[in-house]
Amino acid sequence: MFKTVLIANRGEIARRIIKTCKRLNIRTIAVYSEADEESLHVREADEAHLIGPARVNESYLNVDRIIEVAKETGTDAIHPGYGLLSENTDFAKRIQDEGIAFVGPDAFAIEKMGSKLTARATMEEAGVPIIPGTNDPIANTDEAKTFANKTGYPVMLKASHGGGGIGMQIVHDDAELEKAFESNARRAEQFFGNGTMFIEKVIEDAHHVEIQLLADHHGNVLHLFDRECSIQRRHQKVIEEAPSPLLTEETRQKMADAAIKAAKAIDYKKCWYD
Amino acid sequence: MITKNAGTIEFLVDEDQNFYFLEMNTRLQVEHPVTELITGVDLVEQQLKVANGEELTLKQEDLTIQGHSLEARIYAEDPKTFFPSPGKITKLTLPEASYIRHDIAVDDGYQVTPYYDPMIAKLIVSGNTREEAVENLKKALSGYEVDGIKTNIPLLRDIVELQAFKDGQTRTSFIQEHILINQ
Repeated sequence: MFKTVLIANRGEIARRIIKTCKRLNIRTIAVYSEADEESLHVREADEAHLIGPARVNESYLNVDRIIEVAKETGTDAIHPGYGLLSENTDFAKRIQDEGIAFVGPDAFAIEKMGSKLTARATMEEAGVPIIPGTNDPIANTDEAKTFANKTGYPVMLKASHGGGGIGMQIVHDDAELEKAFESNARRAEQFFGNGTMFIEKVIEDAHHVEIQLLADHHGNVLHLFDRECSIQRRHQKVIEEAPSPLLTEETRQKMADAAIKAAKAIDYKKCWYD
Repeated sequence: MITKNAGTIEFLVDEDQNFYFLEMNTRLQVEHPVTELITGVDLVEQQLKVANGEELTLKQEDLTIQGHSLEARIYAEDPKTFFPSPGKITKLTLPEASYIRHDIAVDDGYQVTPYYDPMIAKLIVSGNTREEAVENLKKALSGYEVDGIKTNIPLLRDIVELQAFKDGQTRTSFIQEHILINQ
């Protein structure tokens, strides 16, 4: 097992990762911004290093500084937690080039699935059901309107590289779409460095259910059942539970199978294109 | 497998049990603790093992659903306007019981800054059945107090009291339908 793990995150998730590392006798390195000097993750890690001012761009997203700390401390692996650098391909590639493991998928997998548009195409090909929508990027408001009027409102605008509800909005008519399209593209550009947008039909009265997977480098892939994450406000989850109270046993099994199929489809794609 | 770690496949499911692929997340999810509580698996440990090149020792046939788990996210925000509410936590009172797990960023005297995500904690509970887990969440929320800043705890307490929540009628429109409409 790794001897030293750096946690490139803050808050509850940094503490949660430290907890498991301690149980496994792994030395932990915390990083923190000036605003987080008094934070619990800083106190609980074996070592803590200041990486910059409060703003995330200057601290928790400061890749150069984080890599510097990792090298100085003899870090074997970096756990990115969620958000921040967890799905940043360049970061994953760079630390791997330094001989440091990234606790997450390999850089290629992030790239593949980080784009929601690529994911749609991959799933469609694998026979995993997808929401009716555009398979190509929508370049501007006019193109968006054309699709929306063809499918019928409401439609969901989505940033291909978005997450956490950013760059995502339901619109009910042309006027709303006109107001929302450019601003969401701009926000996505600002947050994720990519403003590519696409559109999906809105599935009314839907539940949001997800399947947890674990996969290793030896070809094993497992599912750890489902989570119901439907109680949300503006796409931020509020209450989650496991298992989902909605699913019949038959659907539960079907979805777990589909999830594994989806993961394997991505694997197949790698063989196909790499 | 190129996913080679913890991944989540998200679906939308309609009332007729049709499901549609939404996206795959190649990271640890915020809500991973509920899975840990029903399976007994430490997902971070598994992630570290996989990243280290080890083979998963878990077997699909050994994984079962044990009981039910719920997670409530505590946000430092106004429960009515949803505006972030940074400031100093003057007093923190956490409920304690064998069925409660706290994944939390703050303590007494903690200064919540405006720079980061307003989620300050997750309250996770378990129960032998969903009904029991809901009751446990209700009890835990009633003993959860954060003084000095505004949080969404009043909203969470409202949600767990609703019949629709008890019935598992948790569509994505839930808050819009059951909470905001009454304000």
